[in-house]
Amino acid sequence: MPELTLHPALPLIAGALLLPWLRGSLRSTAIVALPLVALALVWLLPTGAVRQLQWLDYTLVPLQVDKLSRLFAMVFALIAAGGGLFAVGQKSRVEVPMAFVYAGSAIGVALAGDLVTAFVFWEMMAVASTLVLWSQGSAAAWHAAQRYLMIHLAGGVLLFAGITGHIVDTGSVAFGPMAPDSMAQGLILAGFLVNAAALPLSAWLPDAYPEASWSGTVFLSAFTTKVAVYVLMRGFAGTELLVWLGLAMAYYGIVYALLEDDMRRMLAYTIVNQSGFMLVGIGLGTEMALNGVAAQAFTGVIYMALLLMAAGAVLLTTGRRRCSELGGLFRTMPLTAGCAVVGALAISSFPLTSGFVSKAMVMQAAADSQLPVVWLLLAAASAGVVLHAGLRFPWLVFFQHDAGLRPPEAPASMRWAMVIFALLCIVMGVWFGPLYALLPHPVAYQPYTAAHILTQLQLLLFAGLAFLALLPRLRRSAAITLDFDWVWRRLLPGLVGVGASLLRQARQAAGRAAAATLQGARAAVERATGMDSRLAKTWPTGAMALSVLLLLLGYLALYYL
Amino acid sequence: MTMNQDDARIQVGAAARRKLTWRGMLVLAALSLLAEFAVHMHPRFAFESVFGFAAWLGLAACIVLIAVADVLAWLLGRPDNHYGSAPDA
Repeated sequence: MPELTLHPALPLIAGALLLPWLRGSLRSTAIVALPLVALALVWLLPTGAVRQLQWLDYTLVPLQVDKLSRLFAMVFALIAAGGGLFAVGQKSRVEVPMAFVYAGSAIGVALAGDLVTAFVFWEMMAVASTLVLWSQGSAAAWHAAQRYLMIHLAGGVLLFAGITGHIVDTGSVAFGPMAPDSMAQGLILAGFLVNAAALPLSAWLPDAYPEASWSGTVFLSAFTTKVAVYVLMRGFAGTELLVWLGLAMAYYGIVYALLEDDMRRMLAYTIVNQSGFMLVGIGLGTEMALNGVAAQAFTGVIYMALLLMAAGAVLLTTGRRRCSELGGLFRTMPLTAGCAVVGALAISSFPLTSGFVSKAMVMQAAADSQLPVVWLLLAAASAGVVLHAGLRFPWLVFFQHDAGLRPPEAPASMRWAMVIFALLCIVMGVWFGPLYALLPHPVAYQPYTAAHILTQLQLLLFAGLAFLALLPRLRRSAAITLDFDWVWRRLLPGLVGVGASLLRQARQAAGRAAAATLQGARAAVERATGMDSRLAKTWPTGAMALSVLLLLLGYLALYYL
Repeated sequence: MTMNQDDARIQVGAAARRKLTWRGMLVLAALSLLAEFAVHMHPRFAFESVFGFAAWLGLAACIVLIAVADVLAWLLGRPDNHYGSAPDA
């Protein structure tokens, strides 16, 4: 059989152009089928550099496949399919097509064998994701989209400068392992980290994602940060800085999520937390750690999407986003509540869920590398994840006190998407062999040992006891917690305002000084040449003759000198 | 049945559920500790040999994280219209 070498991004990006013109069941079918075609194409791609082309003096490889790129491309296509099914009822004509361009571009980065191709798809992701966010239509989404685009274009500038410098330094556009030991590669790392929601710029993520529509957040949660994780794995595995940055992100995500009343912003902070765990693994850089990151990226995209689908279903049916206004929804939304609980169990690494077979690998890598502090901090952060995402989110939204809301379950397409993703969370947790076979390195890890199951259960149960004991402290009122985005939402606009005011005052002062100078000059000319000036007076003829005589004598003297 | 009776019934039900949840969690937590006598734990670091290490770590981490969150709320908490209008649904 001839090998299929069609780029998997093509059906998604080309399909996005067709989707706005389709209606009814044809549109619904296309929304689910296009990502599945992309998934099949990823699966069928042969390993290696599939396509090459010459551009200027460089060889571009727009389609290069290995185990790592195939795994990420597969999960991106899978999320596009699941997210598409969830969004079938979305009224916006922009959101799903742009989400498909976004997904196609993410696949494009994952399959890029050179930095130029990766950059082009990277920027397409920034534009398409902004449009997904903007298509929600509210003023809040519009402003959030502006801030989101500003940060991502700034990240793109860093990346472009870095790639340009790297090409000048090395003469190659190949996308391979790098180290931040030169200005160019440091800029590339910084550009990647912006999209990974790394500190100190993490705030763009919880600022933007919760403002998207009930379905848009599902797409947004899946691609940008995971593509960043992918490129960091490919480019900067073993960079120690990422270990400490990742730990800081993991704790930042937990603490800010604990303070949040908006259910989707709470989950947005969870995305930063999860990215942090993955960055730690990338920083460790061993085969075990990289396998763990790949497994966690694959499973994490699915359980995060599931949690955000549950939140999206609640938002759609109740119109409310604050936990303090929700509660008791399990009575009329049992399926959504059940799916949210499965997602919560998976993110908490409960045995028999996908999180259990994936997340512990990074901790095992820290233990193998004899890094007790890193291991301890990761274990404590795992307890924090149980607390805020595993217990607090489902408890506040679906259980706790009865808020008196009796919304119906979400439409069938949304329920199916949630059920499929919930099943995936369980199937991958039970039947983990196929997942391990997809990982980039040979897997020498057995998740289901008695010790691992017991320690995880102890961690979960005692985190649960802390949750029960401190429950009143976990209910927060509608408030925000100041974040680094204060810099670009308050400080910089304030500084620009002060600068503009100073410039205005300086311009006015300069104008006044110029006017005074002109006035003075005019008065001087007036004095010298006006009607009363000396020059304007009537002079006697003798004085004129004397002047001419002196002039001629002077000329004569000069002539002989 | 009046609203007050309804409310009272719901409150009694919630209190009973809360008690049941507490008891269930305490029993499960105790069982998880006892199970350590029956399972070889393969500690990778010396501190992991402490009896019920993962349990104490989970408990302590959650308490500390909630305390840190409280401090942060006190320091950096602002009304949700701090940057203009509050987000709408």
